[in-house]
Amino acid sequence: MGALEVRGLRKTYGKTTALENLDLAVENGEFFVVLGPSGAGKTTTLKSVAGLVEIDKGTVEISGRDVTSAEPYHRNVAMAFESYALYPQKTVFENLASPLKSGRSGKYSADDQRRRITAVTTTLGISHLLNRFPRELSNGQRQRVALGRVLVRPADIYLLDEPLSHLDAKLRSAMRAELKQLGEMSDTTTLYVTHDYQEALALGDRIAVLREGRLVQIGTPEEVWKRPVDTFVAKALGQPEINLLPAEVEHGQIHTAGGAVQLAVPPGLDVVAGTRLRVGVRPRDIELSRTQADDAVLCMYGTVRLAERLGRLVELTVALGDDTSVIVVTSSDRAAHEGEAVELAVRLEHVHLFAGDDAGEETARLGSASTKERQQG
Amino acid sequence: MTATTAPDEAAAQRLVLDKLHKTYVSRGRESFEAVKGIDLDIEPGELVALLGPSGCGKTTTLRMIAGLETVTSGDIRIGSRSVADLPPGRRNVGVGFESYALYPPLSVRDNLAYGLKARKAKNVKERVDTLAERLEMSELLGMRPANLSSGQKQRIALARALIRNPPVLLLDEPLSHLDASQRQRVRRELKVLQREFGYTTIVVTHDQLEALSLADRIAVMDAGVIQQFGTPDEIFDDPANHFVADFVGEPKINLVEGTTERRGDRVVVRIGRSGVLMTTTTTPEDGRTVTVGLRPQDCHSEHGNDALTLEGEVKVYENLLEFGQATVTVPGVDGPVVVQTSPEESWSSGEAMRFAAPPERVYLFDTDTGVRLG
Repeated sequence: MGALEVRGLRKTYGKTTALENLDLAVENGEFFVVLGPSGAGKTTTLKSVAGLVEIDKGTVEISGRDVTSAEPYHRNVAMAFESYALYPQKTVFENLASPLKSGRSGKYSADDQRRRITAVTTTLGISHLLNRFPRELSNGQRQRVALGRVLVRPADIYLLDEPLSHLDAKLRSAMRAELKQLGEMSDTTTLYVTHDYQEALALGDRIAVLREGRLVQIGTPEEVWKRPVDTFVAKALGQPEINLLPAEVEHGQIHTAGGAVQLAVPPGLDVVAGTRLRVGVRPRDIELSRTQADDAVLCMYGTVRLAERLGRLVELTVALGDDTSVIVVTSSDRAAHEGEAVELAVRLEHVHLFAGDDAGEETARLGSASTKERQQG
Repeated sequence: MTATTAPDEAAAQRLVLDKLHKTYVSRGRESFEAVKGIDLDIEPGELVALLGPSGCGKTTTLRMIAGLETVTSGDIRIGSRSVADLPPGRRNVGVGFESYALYPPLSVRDNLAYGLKARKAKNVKERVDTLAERLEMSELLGMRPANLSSGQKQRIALARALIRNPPVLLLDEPLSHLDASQRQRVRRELKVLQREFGYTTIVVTHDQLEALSLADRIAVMDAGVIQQFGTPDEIFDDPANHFVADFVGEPKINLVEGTTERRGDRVVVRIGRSGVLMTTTTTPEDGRTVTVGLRPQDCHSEHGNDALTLEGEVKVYENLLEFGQATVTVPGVDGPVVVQTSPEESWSSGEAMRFAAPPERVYLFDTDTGVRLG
């Protein structure tokens, strides 16, 4: 167990800057997720903490000790890689025992080893596989063994690099639940890297969103979901992506070019006439309404262009007239058909307002359209 | 390319597979029957997905239609013409493969134009420009394949299959190399283009979500056999058997053992130590052991006094903000049951949860054959 503090981290590979001025403070026992697309610097962050790369600038502290220049095995961290990295010629038991034999993290008697391995394999549900070889295991089982190899050794911090990315979608969601349970049981500080927003939301006590080597936002899952600091974070969470409609302020109203979206400028939002904005609405926050709307709701009218079944849900592409269209996700029991005219409703607290963009830049969130919520930032 | 080509830009045509078989025979090894007599009747302009796990025979089927594999027995008809014995170039099908098969020394523009020029088509430049614009790749036209990302290559391979405007279009995993948000955009664009131009289209995929969202009808394949052929609604809401129910849907459908009990003209199913659920099935006799399928999305927590529920203990609760997901252990049931909840609900580990699914969404399957019981 231990806290982790990273300050002013900078890492370059030749001319490429992988990380720039990264600050992270992970509390003791926290399950901390680093989320970002490929190339964001997630794995470099892990490797910097583990001591597997030499950093250009900044400090790394583990349990209050500066380990910036310490060798990897003196940092007392345990890392699992994206590939399973098991010894093919060793049984599961021998694979699990190997981190305990290296001597770098202390000496373990045969009894101690057996006890630790039993504890870990019971938790992971792999006790019946101890005598098998990696080639005799399914992908999910291999993943569990790889995870077991990390957990078997006591460490201040567990570093996990996309541990579920090799699993198919169905197995991944089952393993995610198991990891969550494991995280709740153990109180070891964990730094977990992923590009999968659902994993981040499900597992993280807090999430750090990275983009091109820079930290964009840190917060609880609810904070990053409900109050993304910019369009990048808003788009990174949620599938299908958040709808972003270009709009302009005029006569105290925010409206899109075609006039399909009309909103009062919420109190506290300091914008002058002519300001360009982007109105952000998540596909799942849009409801197909056939009832009378109240004034806490944004209404839009359109025609269903495309209805695509996504399991129990249906994804509708609704044309709002002119060039604007929005994606709506709704239950298949309530879905509309292609060609049908529909009325869409979104609660104002789910309408995000972002600054207008120039040339496809990511822009900051200004607040929500709610008349009640206090405006942030 | 052969000199005598079928007419360019023909109207969409019906595609029929008639008792199609493929057996691979190799010396010294057992022969392997990859496709075991499949029948498919695809309407002109229809988009059909061949969906199944790897090794189910879907790609072999596609390759037989394209003429890249010989047919062991059975027939393939495009329109009224049997094409099973024609060489690939004379079948008049457009093919897009998972591996991109682009010509490395040619620019993207020349890659796209190649097939058109070989067929001495007119307006080649305009057609390339128009399609590139539709697929949001105009800026790539001057580049070479080597300088492209895998997602970009895939879009170009797709464009090359589309550009000849073929009456029959065959696509093998056309979206597999795209990232999640690209995949959604290209998927929608593919569907719109396909509708607009009316190609009769077969898409091979192992991704059930892609099949559900893209196809007019889906043929779910396993072990060389079509398990069910139907609309996405039919496949998802009305699975024909255990395999289809299990393969389609994410998170996976819960499959648990149950025992039927007749109550008047209704059938309820007993699950675990004390669970009972109402069904809409009518055929199974009293006391029959069945496999019960419950989709996590169809389960909802119950707070009333309804006796027709399952009860268990929440092991893990994941708040995914779009929805919640509980992993529940039910006494007397092997393995956990997954229940999706609305995002407003909140559960903690150890809490007791009662839940049920609407009777028409409680699926019963024969435990031995896997066939759905009506």
